[in-house]
Amino acid sequence: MISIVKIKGRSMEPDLHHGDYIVVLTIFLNRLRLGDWVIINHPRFGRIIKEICDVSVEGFGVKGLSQHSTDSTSLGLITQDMVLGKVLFRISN
Amino acid sequence: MLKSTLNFINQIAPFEEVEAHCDIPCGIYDPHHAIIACLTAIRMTDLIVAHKNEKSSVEWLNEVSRYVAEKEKHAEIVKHEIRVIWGDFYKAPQFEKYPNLHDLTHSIMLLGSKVRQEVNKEAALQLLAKLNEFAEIFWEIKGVETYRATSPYKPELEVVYPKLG
Repeated sequence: MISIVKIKGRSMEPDLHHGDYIVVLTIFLNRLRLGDWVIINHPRFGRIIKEICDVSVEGFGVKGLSQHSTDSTSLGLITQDMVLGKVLFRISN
Repeated sequence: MLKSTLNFINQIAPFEEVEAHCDIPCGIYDPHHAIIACLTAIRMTDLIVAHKNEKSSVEWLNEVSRYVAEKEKHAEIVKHEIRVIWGDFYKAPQFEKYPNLHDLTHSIMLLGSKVRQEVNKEAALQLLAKLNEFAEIFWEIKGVETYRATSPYKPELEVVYPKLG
């Protein structure tokens, strides 16, 4: 399935801005790669968007793009079942 | 165009949102960075005007281009810094207590753009006046007294400082 989601916040700047839209793939999420932007259902931070910065057999490490975003250590290991979608492309100005 | 269409649809049937927030709110806000950037933009405006009658040369072009680039950059810093304070620091109680905050912030955005686009000393001075007003409200909310003093460097204009210590 594909859905459109609106960005709230600035942790993905400069690539994604507050108010931008993204088109998200919510199926076939078993082939995620480094650099993919993913929507995560995080137990502490809720539904967040981050970039995959590490891939291991246990799961993924993720990070925001902004210097103000949480580092990957604080976000912890992201397991496959926490990933809700993968960003296909963005719609910004 | 596509984003405008989505914005329109979003007003009728809002899309789901996903958080891309700055996950560790540092709580460090200070309008002085914006004031310093504004002083820089004013200084660059003065330098551009001072060079306007000089004979064109490669050196002249290089020098004026650098002034323009710095004016652009620092006017944008003003807008960015104020947007962050307005968006992240101020909350409903402050907007209720200071009902002109939205208009004040918006006027700073407009003047910031004008300073970027034009070589306009008057607009730059108006921008500084608005920033001083913004800073006084900011520090009042923080419970910190302020005073006005002339910046100890060119363009030597009056700015708001917090009274610390």
